[in-house]
Amino acid sequence: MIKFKQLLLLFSIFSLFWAMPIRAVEDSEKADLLRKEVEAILAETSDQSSDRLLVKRAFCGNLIAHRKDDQELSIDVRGEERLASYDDDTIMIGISREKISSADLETGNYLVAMGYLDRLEPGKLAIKRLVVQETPTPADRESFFGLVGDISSEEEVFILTYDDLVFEVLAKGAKLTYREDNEITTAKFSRLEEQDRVVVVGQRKDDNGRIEATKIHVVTPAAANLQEEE
Amino acid sequence: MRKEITLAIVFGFILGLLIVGGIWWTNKAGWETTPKSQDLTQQQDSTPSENNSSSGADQASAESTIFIDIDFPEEGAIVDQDEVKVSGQTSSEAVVVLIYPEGETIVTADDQGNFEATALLVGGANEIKVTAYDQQGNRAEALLTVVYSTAKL
Repeated sequence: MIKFKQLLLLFSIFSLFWAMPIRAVEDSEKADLLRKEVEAILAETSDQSSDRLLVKRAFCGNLIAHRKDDQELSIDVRGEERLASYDDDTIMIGISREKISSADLETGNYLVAMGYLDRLEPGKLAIKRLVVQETPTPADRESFFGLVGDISSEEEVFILTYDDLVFEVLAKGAKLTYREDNEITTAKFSRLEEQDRVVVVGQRKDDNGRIEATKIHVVTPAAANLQEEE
Repeated sequence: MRKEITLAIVFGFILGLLIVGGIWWTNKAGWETTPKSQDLTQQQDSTPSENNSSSGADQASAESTIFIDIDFPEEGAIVDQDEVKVSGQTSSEAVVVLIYPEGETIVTADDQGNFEATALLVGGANEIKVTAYDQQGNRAEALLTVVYSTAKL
């Protein structure tokens, strides 16, 4: 009887030992299946994968350095040095829209380098088309926030103050808008009131104390401002 | 004989513990792997806003609580049409001003802070300045360069 119990116990233990290799075989089979599936997916997408990694992009800025032997350009893109490479197929267009060669590129030229960025190596652009153009001048218009002061309806001029800044806004011809029912609506200049909070888009004039406005948007009307203060 | 039985039981118990421990360890390793992949997803999700920050977005003043993130287009994007829709997020109901070479556009963000505005483009590089103002006049600014070109690359 005792022998039988012993045998039973040993059988149980050994059966566990036998079961473990079986489990290991099953795991390796699963791993093989998984590997095959992954390989199949990779094979299916291999043709498209290179395209997916490339993204059309442009580097715009002044040429810092030209390493002719490496066919490589360093471009100052908003204060950051970016690398771009070209090859014999790269189309290069000069400032007068004429075709140029890489030898014509000069340090300081403003370049619009268009090509493809590799997502895996996003620092370097492979240029397909390179255009040399005049350095773009920054927009002469700015936006200003402030509180409307004195208004001259006849001249369509008003005073705009924000902290210590005071501007005279020439609003003739400017488009006035405000928000109503979640929609931006156009209004006449007469709708503008003192204490309106506005955003003015325009160009600084004379000694910078004047703004020639092209757009005025009422952020919060005077009535709302008064309610807020109360 | 009793001694042998006791030894066999102890041996079986230890073996059982080892098996249970092994299964527990395998499961634990599996649980640790899953959160790692979630972290990676979060990092990938946060990448666009980080890119925007490095390209000049989120330049809010120190006092300001307003922010601006541009979702589309990306810095240096090339488009083949003479206008582009600029979209992103800012503070709720902020006023967003786009200034570009051909003009300017003023829109307001919705209560979720989402905004969308159209900028007209000229051929070549176009610098678009996007400024958001809240009702107190705090501002956040982002600069964006978009290239308009119909040439095939």
